[in-house]
Amino acid sequence: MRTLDADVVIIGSGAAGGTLAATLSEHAGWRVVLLERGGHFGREFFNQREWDMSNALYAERGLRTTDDGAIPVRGGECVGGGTTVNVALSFDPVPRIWTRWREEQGLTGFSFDPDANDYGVSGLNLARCVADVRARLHVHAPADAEINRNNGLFAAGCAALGIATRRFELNMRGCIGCGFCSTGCAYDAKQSTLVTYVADAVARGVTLIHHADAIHIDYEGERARGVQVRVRETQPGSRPNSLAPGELYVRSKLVIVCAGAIETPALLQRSQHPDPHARIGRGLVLHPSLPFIGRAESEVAGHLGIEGTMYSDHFAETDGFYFECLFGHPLYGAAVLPGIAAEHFELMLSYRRLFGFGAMLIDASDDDNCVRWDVQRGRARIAYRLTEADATRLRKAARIGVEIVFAAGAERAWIASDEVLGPLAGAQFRSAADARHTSELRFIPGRTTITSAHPQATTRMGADRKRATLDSRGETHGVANLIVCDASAFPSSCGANPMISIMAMARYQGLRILGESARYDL
Amino acid sequence: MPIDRPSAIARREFMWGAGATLLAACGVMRQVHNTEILSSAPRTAALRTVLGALITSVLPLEHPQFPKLQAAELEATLLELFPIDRDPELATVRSAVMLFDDCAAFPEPPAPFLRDQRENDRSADPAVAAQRAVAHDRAAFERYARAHGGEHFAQQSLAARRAYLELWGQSALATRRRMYRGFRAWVLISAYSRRELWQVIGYDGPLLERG
Repeated sequence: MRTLDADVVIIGSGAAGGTLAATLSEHAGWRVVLLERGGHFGREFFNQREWDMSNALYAERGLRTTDDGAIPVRGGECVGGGTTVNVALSFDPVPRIWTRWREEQGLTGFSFDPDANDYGVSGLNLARCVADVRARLHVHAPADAEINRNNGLFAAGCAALGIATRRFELNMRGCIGCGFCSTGCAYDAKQSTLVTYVADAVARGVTLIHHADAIHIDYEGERARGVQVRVRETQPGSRPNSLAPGELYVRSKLVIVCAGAIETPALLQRSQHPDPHARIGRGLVLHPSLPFIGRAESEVAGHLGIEGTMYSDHFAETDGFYFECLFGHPLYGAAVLPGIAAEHFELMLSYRRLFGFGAMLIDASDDDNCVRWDVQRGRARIAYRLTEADATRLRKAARIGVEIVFAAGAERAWIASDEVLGPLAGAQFRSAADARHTSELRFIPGRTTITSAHPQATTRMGADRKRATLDSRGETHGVANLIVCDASAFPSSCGANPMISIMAMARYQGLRILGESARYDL
Repeated sequence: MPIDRPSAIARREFMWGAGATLLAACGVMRQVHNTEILSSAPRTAALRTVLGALITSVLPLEHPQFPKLQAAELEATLLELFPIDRDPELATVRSAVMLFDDCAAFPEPPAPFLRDQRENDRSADPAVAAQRAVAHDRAAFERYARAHGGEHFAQQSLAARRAYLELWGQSALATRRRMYRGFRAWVLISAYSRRELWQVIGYDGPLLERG
């Protein structure tokens, strides 16, 4: 069996793993191995075709769903992970959430004070890490000219109802506004980890191995010893791999899991990580999102220009949901629009007059919602159901969302549902007054489309070993040289689109490991 | 509804073979790692007849503004994107298509559907809820059968086929709704991957290809 000796092995090259690899590569002497399950695709491959890119870049070919098939759980599975395929929405970590985690979950460190030296490590604090990440990713608000008509209509609709909107910040440099963020940026303008932190890490000598399935983590007593890996054949279109296909063992002093909130708990479960209180995988948060579609009297062409530039956090603190402006290319659009035959086709015929946005719910963490490794099927299974309290909040978001569509001047509105809502034909709304019928939404799986792209909180940090799997350093309770650092480590939802929160946490843990290297015999 | 003996046997064999693996087929292609090959996998010709019927039901080829495309062209795209007719890993998907075609089997859902319903139900009494779902579907099917009759989806009139699809989409059983969504998604993805459709809806296509 081939064996690689490493100081640190990182599993996953997305928002967390990419950032950690670059940060740890700042220490010149360490051998860092970065494993990625997906392929290494770049601008030369990104052809802006939805189906091709969905197949190559997304987990389960873009068709990953909850167990009941009701909620697509989109996630990047390629070098750069979700950052390669997201739409560049950059939210700083939400201080009130981290304060609550400190108070309620007993988290330590993660200071928002830029002068703090957490764990006695000089300059270690979350504020500095956020600043580092923002600078590397060139996070900035788009200019007026970059706001397309879809976003403009959304903002106008909100304004007419007295709902405050803001401009998203985006991690882009030299964006030409092609509108194809979610199929991978063909111009290297989106500052994903693919073109930033992973590129930095590789330039500084980190060994990137893609098409690499982490089979299990190997233990020796109470220490992790390494990772059993299977390197698959390189897919057509991927950049070459650094190793030939076959079995591989990576022996390492420190193992860091950054595989995301679905695959991280699945890896720990199949590695039979100690879990005396059955916590691993439980408490899944998805940020369920409900799309709204409006039809304007005149052309919108929402597929042209930057997809999302405007959002509203008006209801974020009071009701726990955001409205975020987004739009779809035809495959996504066709799937979301209701009906079949002429009803569906005639909606598609008005594609250039459609506008859209979504309500994203900050869902509560519920123990029944969970990820579990299915040995027989050889994949992670996702059990998720909206809690009644969350459904109530989402119904409110649905009503206000429909009102926004009409306030923006639409002649018709839809949500992606064929539930029977009072006298309405499907979930088709003819006026703002019809919005009241959203109170009858039951969010029946398979009848109302809810989407998700932000799984979190399945391998949580916290002081209480009965409730949490990790301590504040991300070390698993029970195995000190095994760290989890990704969205699964959040004790609950991080309160916004998670990319920058994940990257800042990864930067933080990376700097901490550099400062506490003796702790890991590095 | 009279059923001659050979087809009844075939149906029983099929239902047995589909068994637990059928559920896996319902999420379109995502469970390709988790399929078993059925001994009674349906013949390609029969499968393609049903796919053709699905295509003409989901898409309004009769609509005056629909591009001048033959069902066979759309079927070719579908089978290119979803090689369900030849990929041995997709045998259960083929079976799911044929089960869908079998209208007469609708009133009594196969055991895996009920098991799935109970397992995903978080109500106080999942068994009772599942029975209620079956009763709902049976009543809906009886209304459908009175209006349209017919044993096979693919042999029905266009209006009857669309009504039958609706029956699945509005089923009280989650597995049926999931199959409806899956079939609908195949057809829509296949159609809206084609330039002819982009042109009629006014989609500009990839910037890289615009010259």
